[in-house]
Amino acid sequence: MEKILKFLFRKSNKLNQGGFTQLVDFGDAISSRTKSASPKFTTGFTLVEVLVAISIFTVSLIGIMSVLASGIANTNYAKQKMIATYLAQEGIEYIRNMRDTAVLYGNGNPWEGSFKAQLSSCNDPDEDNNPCGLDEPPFGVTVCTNPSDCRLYLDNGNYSTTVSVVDSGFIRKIWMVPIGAGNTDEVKIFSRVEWTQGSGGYNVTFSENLFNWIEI
Amino acid sequence: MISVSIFLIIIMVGMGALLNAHRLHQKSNNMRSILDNLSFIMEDMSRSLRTGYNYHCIDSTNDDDLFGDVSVYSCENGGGGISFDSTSDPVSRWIYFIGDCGDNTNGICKSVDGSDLIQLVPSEVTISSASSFTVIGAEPPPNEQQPFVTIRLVGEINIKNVVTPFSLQTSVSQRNIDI
Repeated sequence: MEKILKFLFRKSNKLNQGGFTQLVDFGDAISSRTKSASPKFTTGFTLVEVLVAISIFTVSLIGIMSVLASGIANTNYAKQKMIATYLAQEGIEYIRNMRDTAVLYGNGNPWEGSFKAQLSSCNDPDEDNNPCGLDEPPFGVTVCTNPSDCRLYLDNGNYSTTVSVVDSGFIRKIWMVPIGAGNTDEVKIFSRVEWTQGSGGYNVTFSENLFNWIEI
Repeated sequence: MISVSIFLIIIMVGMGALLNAHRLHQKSNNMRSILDNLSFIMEDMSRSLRTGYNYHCIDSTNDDDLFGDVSVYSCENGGGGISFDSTSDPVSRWIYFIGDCGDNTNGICKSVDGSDLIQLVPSEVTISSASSFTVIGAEPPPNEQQPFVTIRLVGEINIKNVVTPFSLQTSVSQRNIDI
Protein backbone atom coordinates (compact mmCIF):
# COMPACT_ATOMS: atom_id res chain seq x y z
CA MET A 1 0.00 0.00 0.00
CA GLU A 2 2.74 2.42 0.95
CA LYS A 3 4.51 1.70 -2.34
CA ILE A 4 1.34 2.42 -4.39
CA LEU A 5 0.75 5.77 -2.64
CA LYS A 6 4.36 6.84 -3.13
CA PHE A 7 4.07 6.05 -6.86
CA LEU A 8 0.78 7.98 -7.24
CA PHE A 9 2.07 11.16 -5.54
CA ARG A 10 5.31 11.10 -7.45
CA LYS A 11 3.21 11.06 -10.62
CA SER A 12 0.94 13.83 -9.26
CA ASN A 13 3.92 16.05 -8.47
CA LYS A 14 5.24 15.62 -11.99
CA LEU A 15 1.86 16.60 -13.44
CA ASN A 16 1.63 19.65 -11.18
CA GLN A 17 4.92 21.12 -12.28
CA GLY A 18 3.17 23.47 -14.77
CA GLY A 19 0.73 25.08 -12.22
CA PHE A 20 0.86 26.03 -8.59
CA THR A 21 3.42 23.83 -6.96
CA GLN A 22 2.18 21.70 -4.14
CA LEU A 23 5.12 19.92 -2.67
CA VAL A 24 4.13 16.96 -0.61
CA ASP A 25 6.78 14.99 1.08
CA PHE A 26 4.67 11.90 1.25
CA GLY A 27 7.46 9.53 1.76
CA ASP A 28 8.01 10.93 5.20
CA ALA A 29 4.31 11.37 5.78
CA ILE A 30 3.52 7.82 4.90
CA SER A 31 6.37 6.47 6.75
CA SER A 32 5.72 8.73 9.69
CA ARG A 33 2.00 8.11 9.69
CA THR A 34 2.60 5.35 12.09
CA LYS A 35 4.57 7.82 14.23
CA SER A 36 2.53 11.06 13.79
CA ALA A 37 -1.08 11.80 12.64
CA SER A 38 -0.42 14.84 10.33
CA PRO A 39 1.50 14.69 7.02
CA LYS A 40 4.15 17.33 6.37
CA PHE A 41 2.99 19.70 3.53
CA THR A 42 5.32 22.30 2.08
CA THR A 43 2.89 24.41 0.03
CA GLY A 44 3.10 27.92 -1.62
CA PHE A 45 3.84 29.92 -4.80
CA THR A 46 7.21 30.19 -6.37
CA LEU A 47 8.39 33.62 -7.58
CA VAL A 48 8.00 32.57 -11.21
CA GLU A 49 4.39 31.60 -10.62
CA VAL A 50 3.67 34.94 -8.95
CA LEU A 51 5.23 36.80 -11.86
CA VAL A 52 3.15 34.82 -14.32
CA ALA A 53 -0.02 35.53 -12.31
CA ILE A 54 0.81 39.24 -12.09
CA SER A 55 1.48 39.39 -15.83
CA ILE A 56 -1.88 37.84 -16.63
CA PHE A 57 -3.62 40.19 -14.21
CA THR A 58 -1.79 43.23 -15.63
CA VAL A 59 -2.65 42.32 -19.21
CA SER A 60 -6.34 41.99 -18.31
CA LEU A 61 -6.17 45.30 -16.42
CA ILE A 62 -4.58 47.07 -19.37
CA GLY A 63 -7.38 45.71 -21.56
CA ILE A 64 -10.04 47.10 -19.25
CA MET A 65 -8.24 50.44 -18.95
CA SER A 66 -7.91 50.87 -22.69
CA VAL A 67 -11.63 50.15 -23.16
CA LEU A 68 -12.39 52.70 -20.45
CA ALA A 69 -10.08 55.31 -21.96
CA SER A 70 -11.74 54.93 -25.33
CA GLY A 71 -15.14 55.24 -23.59
CA ILE A 72 -14.14 58.55 -22.02
CA ALA A 73 -12.68 59.78 -25.31
CA ASN A 74 -15.95 58.83 -27.02
CA THR A 75 -17.95 60.83 -24.47
CA ASN A 76 -15.79 63.89 -25.21
CA TYR A 77 -16.19 63.24 -28.92
CA ALA A 78 -19.98 63.05 -28.47
CA LYS A 79 -19.92 66.42 -26.69
CA GLN A 80 -17.82 68.09 -29.39
CA LYS A 81 -19.90 66.53 -32.15
CA MET A 82 -23.10 67.78 -30.56
CA ILE A 83 -21.74 71.36 -30.48
CA ALA A 84 -20.47 71.01 -34.06
CA THR A 85 -23.81 69.65 -35.28
CA TYR A 86 -25.73 72.62 -33.90
CA LEU A 87 -23.19 75.07 -35.35
CA ALA A 88 -23.46 73.39 -38.77
CA GLN A 89 -27.26 73.50 -38.56
CA GLU A 90 -26.99 77.20 -37.70
CA GLY A 91 -25.02 77.74 -40.91
CA ILE A 92 -27.83 76.24 -43.00
CA GLU A 93 -30.52 78.21 -41.15
CA TYR A 94 -28.54 81.44 -41.62
CA ILE A 95 -28.35 80.99 -45.41
CA ARG A 96 -31.99 79.94 -45.53
CA ASN A 97 -32.91 83.13 -43.69
CA MET A 98 -30.88 85.15 -46.23
CA ARG A 99 -32.81 83.41 -49.03
CA ASP A 100 -36.22 84.10 -47.48
CA THR A 101 -35.39 87.72 -46.66
CA ALA A 102 -33.96 88.32 -50.15
CA VAL A 103 -36.84 86.67 -51.97
CA LEU A 104 -39.48 88.39 -49.82
CA TYR A 105 -38.08 91.90 -49.79
CA GLY A 106 -35.49 92.13 -52.57
CA ASN A 107 -36.07 94.21 -55.69
CA GLY A 108 -36.02 93.15 -59.33
CA ASN A 109 -34.98 89.52 -59.53
CA PRO A 110 -34.24 88.94 -55.83
CA TRP A 111 -33.17 85.30 -56.24
CA GLU A 112 -30.38 86.18 -58.63
CA GLY A 113 -29.77 89.81 -57.70
CA SER A 114 -29.99 89.62 -53.92
CA PHE A 115 -29.52 86.05 -52.76
CA LYS A 116 -27.19 84.38 -55.25
CA ALA A 117 -25.21 87.59 -55.71
CA GLN A 118 -24.41 87.65 -51.99
CA LEU A 119 -23.16 84.07 -52.17
CA SER A 120 -21.36 84.42 -55.51
CA SER A 121 -17.98 84.60 -53.78
CA CYS A 122 -18.69 81.25 -52.06
CA ASN A 123 -19.80 79.62 -55.31
CA ASP A 124 -17.73 76.47 -55.16
CA PRO A 125 -18.65 73.57 -57.46
CA ASP A 126 -15.47 71.74 -56.43
CA GLU A 127 -16.65 71.81 -52.85
CA ASP A 128 -14.74 73.31 -49.99
CA ASN A 129 -12.11 75.15 -52.05
CA ASN A 130 -13.66 78.54 -51.69
CA PRO A 131 -15.61 78.60 -48.43
CA CYS A 132 -17.14 81.55 -46.61
CA GLY A 133 -17.66 82.47 -43.00
CA LEU A 134 -20.86 83.98 -41.63
CA ASP A 135 -20.93 87.62 -40.54
CA GLU A 136 -22.58 88.79 -37.36
CA PRO A 137 -26.06 90.11 -38.30
CA PRO A 138 -26.87 92.12 -40.44
CA PHE A 139 -26.67 89.03 -42.58
CA GLY A 140 -23.80 88.49 -44.97
CA VAL A 141 -20.88 86.23 -45.77
CA THR A 142 -17.14 86.80 -46.07
CA VAL A 143 -14.74 84.65 -48.08
CA CYS A 144 -12.13 82.87 -45.96
CA THR A 145 -8.87 83.52 -47.77
CA ASN A 146 -7.24 81.04 -45.43
CA PRO A 147 -8.93 78.45 -43.18
CA SER A 148 -8.28 80.43 -40.02
CA ASP A 149 -10.61 83.16 -41.33
CA CYS A 150 -13.48 80.71 -40.86
CA ARG A 151 -12.43 80.01 -37.27
CA LEU A 152 -15.11 80.47 -34.62
CA TYR A 153 -14.25 82.33 -31.45
CA LEU A 154 -16.19 82.05 -28.24
CA ASP A 155 -17.13 85.24 -26.45
CA ASN A 156 -19.44 84.88 -23.46
CA GLY A 157 -21.34 81.98 -25.03
CA ASN A 158 -21.42 83.51 -28.50
CA TYR A 159 -19.73 81.57 -31.34
CA SER A 160 -18.71 83.94 -34.14
CA THR A 161 -15.90 84.75 -36.54
CA THR A 162 -15.28 88.01 -34.68
CA VAL A 163 -11.80 87.54 -33.23
CA SER A 164 -11.75 87.29 -29.44
CA VAL A 165 -9.51 85.81 -26.78
CA VAL A 166 -11.06 82.33 -26.63
CA ASP A 167 -10.66 80.11 -29.68
CA SER A 168 -13.59 77.67 -29.67
CA GLY A 169 -11.59 75.07 -31.63
CA PHE A 170 -14.24 74.93 -34.37
CA ILE A 171 -13.97 76.10 -37.98
CA ARG A 172 -17.19 76.62 -39.93
CA LYS A 173 -17.16 76.72 -43.71
CA ILE A 174 -20.15 77.57 -45.87
CA TRP A 175 -20.24 77.17 -49.62
CA MET A 176 -22.76 77.00 -52.44
CA VAL A 177 -23.07 74.76 -55.48
CA PRO A 178 -25.59 75.82 -58.16
CA ILE A 179 -27.73 72.94 -59.39
CA GLY A 180 -28.03 72.93 -63.17
CA ALA A 181 -26.52 75.29 -65.74
CA GLY A 182 -27.12 79.04 -66.07
CA ASN A 183 -29.53 80.98 -63.90
CA THR A 184 -31.09 78.06 -62.12
CA ASP A 185 -33.70 78.21 -59.41
CA GLU A 186 -31.90 75.72 -57.20
CA VAL A 187 -28.68 75.79 -55.21
CA LYS A 188 -27.16 73.37 -52.77
CA ILE A 189 -25.75 74.87 -49.60
CA PHE A 190 -23.05 73.11 -47.59
CA SER A 191 -22.17 73.86 -43.98
CA ARG A 192 -19.13 72.10 -42.58
CA VAL A 193 -17.81 72.37 -39.03
CA GLU A 194 -14.31 71.02 -38.38
CA TRP A 195 -12.50 70.47 -35.13
CA THR A 196 -9.42 68.70 -33.82
CA GLN A 197 -9.58 66.30 -30.91
CA GLY A 198 -6.72 64.22 -29.63
CA SER A 199 -4.60 63.32 -32.62
CA GLY A 200 -7.42 63.32 -35.14
CA GLY A 201 -9.37 65.85 -37.16
CA TYR A 202 -13.16 65.51 -37.35
CA ASN A 203 -15.91 67.26 -39.23
CA VAL A 204 -19.68 67.41 -39.58
CA THR A 205 -21.15 68.46 -42.93
CA PHE A 206 -24.77 69.41 -43.52
CA SER A 207 -26.26 70.29 -46.86
CA GLU A 208 -29.61 71.57 -48.01
CA ASN A 209 -31.11 72.37 -51.39
CA LEU A 210 -32.68 75.82 -51.53
CA PHE A 211 -35.13 76.88 -54.20
CA ASN A 212 -36.36 80.14 -55.63
CA TRP A 213 -39.89 79.78 -54.32
CA ILE A 214 -41.25 83.07 -55.63
CA GLU A 215 -42.71 83.54 -59.10
CA ILE A 216 -41.96 86.92 -60.65
CA MET B 1 6.36 34.75 1.86
CA ILE B 2 7.99 37.30 -0.48
CA SER B 3 6.05 35.94 -3.42
CA VAL B 4 2.75 36.13 -1.57
CA SER B 5 3.49 39.69 -0.39
CA ILE B 6 4.27 40.88 -3.92
CA PHE B 7 1.18 39.14 -5.21
CA LEU B 8 -1.04 40.74 -2.56
CA ILE B 9 0.36 44.23 -3.16
CA ILE B 10 -0.13 43.97 -6.90
CA ILE B 11 -3.64 42.58 -6.52
CA MET B 12 -4.60 45.36 -4.10
CA VAL B 13 -3.26 48.07 -6.41
CA GLY B 14 -4.97 46.40 -9.34
CA MET B 15 -8.29 46.14 -7.52
CA GLY B 16 -8.02 49.83 -6.61
CA ALA B 17 -7.47 50.64 -10.27
CA LEU B 18 -10.46 48.49 -11.22
CA LEU B 19 -12.71 50.24 -8.71
CA ASN B 20 -11.56 53.64 -10.00
CA ALA B 21 -12.22 52.45 -13.52
CA HIS B 22 -15.74 51.44 -12.52
CA ARG B 23 -16.35 54.87 -10.98
CA LEU B 24 -15.04 56.61 -14.10
CA HIS B 25 -17.24 54.42 -16.27
CA GLN B 26 -20.30 55.43 -14.24
CA LYS B 27 -19.42 59.12 -14.53
CA SER B 28 -18.89 58.74 -18.24
CA ASN B 29 -22.29 57.07 -18.54
CA ASN B 30 -23.96 59.83 -16.54
CA MET B 31 -22.28 62.45 -18.69
CA ARG B 32 -23.54 60.73 -21.83
CA SER B 33 -27.12 60.71 -20.49
CA ILE B 34 -26.97 64.39 -19.58
CA LEU B 35 -25.49 65.33 -22.95
CA ASP B 36 -28.31 63.39 -24.64
CA ASN B 37 -30.78 65.28 -22.48
CA LEU B 38 -29.26 68.66 -23.39
CA SER B 39 -29.24 67.72 -27.05
CA PHE B 40 -32.90 66.74 -26.86
CA ILE B 41 -33.83 70.05 -25.20
CA MET B 42 -31.92 72.01 -27.85
CA GLU B 43 -33.54 69.99 -30.64
CA ASP B 44 -37.01 70.38 -29.11
CA MET B 45 -36.66 74.14 -28.67
CA SER B 46 -35.25 74.54 -32.20
CA ARG B 47 -38.10 72.62 -33.76
CA SER B 48 -40.80 74.42 -31.78
CA LEU B 49 -39.33 77.83 -32.64
CA ARG B 50 -38.76 76.91 -36.29
CA THR B 51 -42.38 75.94 -36.80
CA GLY B 52 -43.71 78.66 -34.49
CA TYR B 53 -44.31 82.34 -35.25
CA ASN B 54 -45.12 85.71 -33.64
CA TYR B 55 -41.90 85.78 -31.61
CA HIS B 56 -41.51 88.13 -28.67
CA CYS B 57 -38.21 88.44 -26.88
CA ILE B 58 -38.33 88.52 -23.11
CA ASP B 59 -35.52 90.74 -21.91
CA SER B 60 -34.86 92.85 -18.84
CA THR B 61 -37.53 95.35 -19.91
CA ASN B 62 -40.41 92.91 -19.69
CA ASP B 63 -39.32 89.85 -17.76
CA ASP B 64 -41.78 90.55 -14.94
CA ASP B 65 -44.67 90.01 -17.27
CA LEU B 66 -43.94 86.91 -19.30
CA PHE B 67 -47.25 86.67 -21.12
CA GLY B 68 -48.74 90.15 -20.80
CA ASP B 69 -46.20 92.45 -22.42
CA VAL B 70 -45.97 91.78 -26.11
CA SER B 71 -44.65 95.18 -27.10
CA VAL B 72 -41.09 93.88 -27.34
CA TYR B 73 -40.38 91.89 -30.49
CA SER B 74 -36.67 91.65 -31.26
CA CYS B 75 -33.63 91.84 -29.00
CA GLU B 76 -30.37 91.86 -30.94
CA ASN B 77 -28.34 91.77 -27.73
CA GLY B 78 -30.22 88.74 -26.43
CA GLY B 79 -32.87 88.26 -23.80
CA GLY B 80 -33.49 85.71 -21.09
CA GLY B 81 -36.53 84.20 -22.77
CA ILE B 82 -38.83 84.03 -25.76
CA SER B 83 -42.57 83.71 -26.17
CA PHE B 84 -44.18 82.58 -29.41
CA ASP B 85 -47.26 80.98 -30.92
CA SER B 86 -46.74 77.26 -31.30
CA THR B 87 -48.29 75.43 -34.22
CA SER B 88 -49.58 72.77 -31.88
CA ASP B 89 -53.26 71.95 -32.11
CA PRO B 90 -54.93 74.12 -30.82
CA VAL B 91 -52.51 77.01 -31.28
CA SER B 92 -51.06 77.96 -27.92
CA ARG B 93 -48.66 80.54 -26.52
CA TRP B 94 -45.38 78.99 -25.43
CA ILE B 95 -42.56 80.43 -23.37
CA TYR B 96 -38.96 79.34 -22.98
CA PHE B 97 -37.24 81.17 -20.19
CA ILE B 98 -33.74 80.89 -18.70
CA GLY B 99 -33.76 81.31 -14.96
CA ASP B 100 -35.29 79.95 -11.78
CA CYS B 101 -38.40 77.88 -12.51
CA GLY B 102 -39.33 77.82 -8.83
CA ASP B 103 -36.92 75.13 -7.69
CA ASN B 104 -34.09 77.53 -6.78
CA THR B 105 -31.83 76.37 -9.61
CA ASN B 106 -31.01 78.13 -12.84
CA GLY B 107 -32.36 76.11 -15.72
CA ILE B 108 -34.56 76.31 -18.79
CA CYS B 109 -38.24 76.75 -18.01
CA LYS B 110 -41.15 76.07 -20.31
CA SER B 111 -44.71 77.26 -19.95
CA VAL B 112 -47.73 76.68 -22.17
CA ASP B 113 -50.62 79.16 -22.13
CA GLY B 114 -49.69 80.55 -18.73
CA SER B 115 -49.26 77.22 -16.98
CA ASP B 116 -46.64 76.78 -14.26
CA LEU B 117 -43.02 76.87 -15.39
CA ILE B 118 -41.61 73.41 -16.03
CA GLN B 119 -37.90 72.76 -15.53
CA LEU B 120 -36.47 71.10 -18.63
CA VAL B 121 -32.90 70.34 -17.55
CA PRO B 122 -31.88 67.71 -14.96
CA SER B 123 -30.61 68.79 -11.56
CA GLU B 124 -26.96 68.13 -12.55
CA VAL B 125 -27.10 70.93 -15.13
CA THR B 126 -26.81 74.60 -14.22
CA ILE B 127 -27.56 77.14 -16.93
CA SER B 128 -25.64 80.39 -16.52
CA SER B 129 -26.87 83.92 -17.13
CA ALA B 130 -24.70 84.12 -20.28
CA SER B 131 -27.36 81.98 -21.98
CA SER B 132 -29.78 83.89 -24.14
CA PHE B 133 -32.31 84.00 -26.94
CA THR B 134 -31.44 86.56 -29.61
CA VAL B 135 -34.40 87.52 -31.77
CA ILE B 136 -33.99 89.42 -35.05
CA GLY B 137 -36.66 90.64 -37.43
CA ALA B 138 -39.69 89.61 -35.37
CA GLU B 139 -41.49 92.93 -35.90
CA PRO B 140 -44.51 92.80 -38.19
CA PRO B 141 -44.21 94.39 -41.68
CA PRO B 142 -42.98 96.88 -42.86
CA ASN B 143 -39.95 95.30 -41.13
CA GLU B 144 -38.03 93.63 -43.96
CA GLN B 145 -36.39 90.68 -42.29
CA GLN B 146 -37.48 87.07 -41.98
CA PRO B 147 -37.53 86.30 -38.21
CA PHE B 148 -34.39 84.63 -36.92
CA VAL B 149 -33.69 83.32 -33.42
CA THR B 150 -30.31 82.34 -31.98
CA ILE B 151 -30.34 80.08 -28.92
CA ARG B 152 -27.26 80.11 -26.69
CA LEU B 153 -26.98 77.69 -23.80
CA VAL B 154 -24.01 78.19 -21.51
CA GLY B 155 -23.57 76.34 -18.26
CA GLU B 156 -21.96 73.45 -16.51
CA ILE B 157 -22.68 69.83 -15.72
CA ASN B 158 -21.85 68.79 -12.18
CA ILE B 159 -21.63 65.03 -11.61
CA LYS B 160 -20.34 64.09 -8.17
CA ASN B 161 -18.18 67.22 -7.95
CA VAL B 162 -16.74 66.79 -11.44
CA VAL B 163 -17.67 69.98 -13.27
CA THR B 164 -17.83 70.01 -17.08
CA PRO B 165 -18.59 73.34 -18.75
CA PHE B 166 -20.49 73.49 -22.02
CA SER B 167 -21.48 76.14 -24.51
CA LEU B 168 -24.09 75.32 -27.14
CA GLN B 169 -25.38 77.57 -29.88
CA THR B 170 -27.76 77.17 -32.76
CA SER B 171 -30.11 79.36 -34.78
CA VAL B 172 -33.47 78.89 -36.41
CA SER B 173 -35.16 80.75 -39.21
CA GLN B 174 -38.95 80.94 -38.96
CA ARG B 175 -40.57 78.67 -41.56
CA ASN B 176 -43.76 80.72 -41.83
CA ILE B 177 -43.35 83.44 -44.41
CA ASP B 178 -43.09 86.82 -42.70
CA ILE B 179 -45.93 88.65 -44.45
